Amino acid sequence: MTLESAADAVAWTTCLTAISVALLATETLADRASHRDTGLLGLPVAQTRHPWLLVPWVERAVVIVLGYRALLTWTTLRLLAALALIALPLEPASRSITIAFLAGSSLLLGARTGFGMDGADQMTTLVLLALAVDALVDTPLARQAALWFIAAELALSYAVAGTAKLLGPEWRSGRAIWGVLSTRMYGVPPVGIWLRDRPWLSKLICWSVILGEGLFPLVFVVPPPVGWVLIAAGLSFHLGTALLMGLNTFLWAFLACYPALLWCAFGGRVV
Amino acid sequence: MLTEWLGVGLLATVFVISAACQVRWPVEDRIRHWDVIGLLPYWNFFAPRPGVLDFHLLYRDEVADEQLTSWIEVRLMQERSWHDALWNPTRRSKKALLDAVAGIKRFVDAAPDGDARLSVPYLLLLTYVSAIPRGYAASKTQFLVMASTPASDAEPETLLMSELHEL
Repeated sequence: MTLESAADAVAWTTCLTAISVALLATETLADRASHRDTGLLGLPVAQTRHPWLLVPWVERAVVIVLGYRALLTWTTLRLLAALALIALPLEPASRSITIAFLAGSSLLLGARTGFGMDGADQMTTLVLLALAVDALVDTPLARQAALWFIAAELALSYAVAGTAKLLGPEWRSGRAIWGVLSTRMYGVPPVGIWLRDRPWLSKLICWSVILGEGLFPLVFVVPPPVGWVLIAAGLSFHLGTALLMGLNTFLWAFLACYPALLWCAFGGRVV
Repeated sequence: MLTEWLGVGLLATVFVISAACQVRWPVEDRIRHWDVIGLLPYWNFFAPRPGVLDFHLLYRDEVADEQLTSWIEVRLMQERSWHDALWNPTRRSKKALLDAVAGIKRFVDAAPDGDARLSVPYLLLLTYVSAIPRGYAASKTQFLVMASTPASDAEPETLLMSELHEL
């Protein structure tokens, strides 16, 4: 695949999003015990978060559509659909239906439980929504809208994250990076402790993240060489969070947005 | 033509709403209340206050003669492995624990006199702990959520201790 047209950008984004979906699906199937009714990701308790979900007929319908067995079925179908998008030369109609299925099932499964979801899930769902609009409407305008939606959501995510970090004294001082990396949940404790003893390096990393994220939306207006620096910073950031924080799905979910971003920011000048 | 504009309009609307929900204001709460599918993200990753705590979920049971067992830690927060960067299946259940603890804290902060036992995250943890297979007969269980700050020498802090609940 090249990146010489909007269709190429959509194809790359679709392939990378399918990898993200496949990864999420295999993780769900591997940790399926957590999704059982009594697990931390179980449906029955999560269903009590909205009174209307407990209306008898709604409750029954939700159990049928989103219960444990239904989740396993949806997840298996999503895995197969994602693999088909990655590996098979699908006809346009089959491809559109597959993308629409992934988008629809993502939206549906989002209603299952509010627990355990993260930004990678949401980014993947938003990208699939845009890809589904492109696939189903199938006009040049819809394609441009889908690509710009994905690129804009990516830029928004970085701008918000950078601004929020700038407002946090622990980020400005450099304490945040070693504090997070010292945890077992999101870090590698020896690395966190190592950074704690090197405050200048911690501060440098924190400010690099603040500036890299906060200035990222400039990618649309700066000359390409500067834009490439911002893009390299963004990709390095995701690689770092995957390696050090175990945020593996963020890598794929956000990487999938970059072909759209490259097309919107640089157009045909990217190759 | 109509479907084209419906599609474009849908994407434009979702983007505007997701942008509007990045700022704390009354409208945000109302919008998120109706977002039952969790579509609208919070993009302020680990900021402004980074998560520097590890949470620990423990439980103990009442067995014969009202004796209590020792606290047992649920092994959710194991050391991470190198392959987590590629494949990390327990990431979501760990995040669910984090969400539950944060949810209980939000509930208590919002209504200090409220009954946390009625909150969804409390019920989630209780359901989970109650279903853990035991190799002994227990009549009641109690759970404990603790927070540790690995980067400091501070002792772990108790965030919440449940009541004893019938099994």
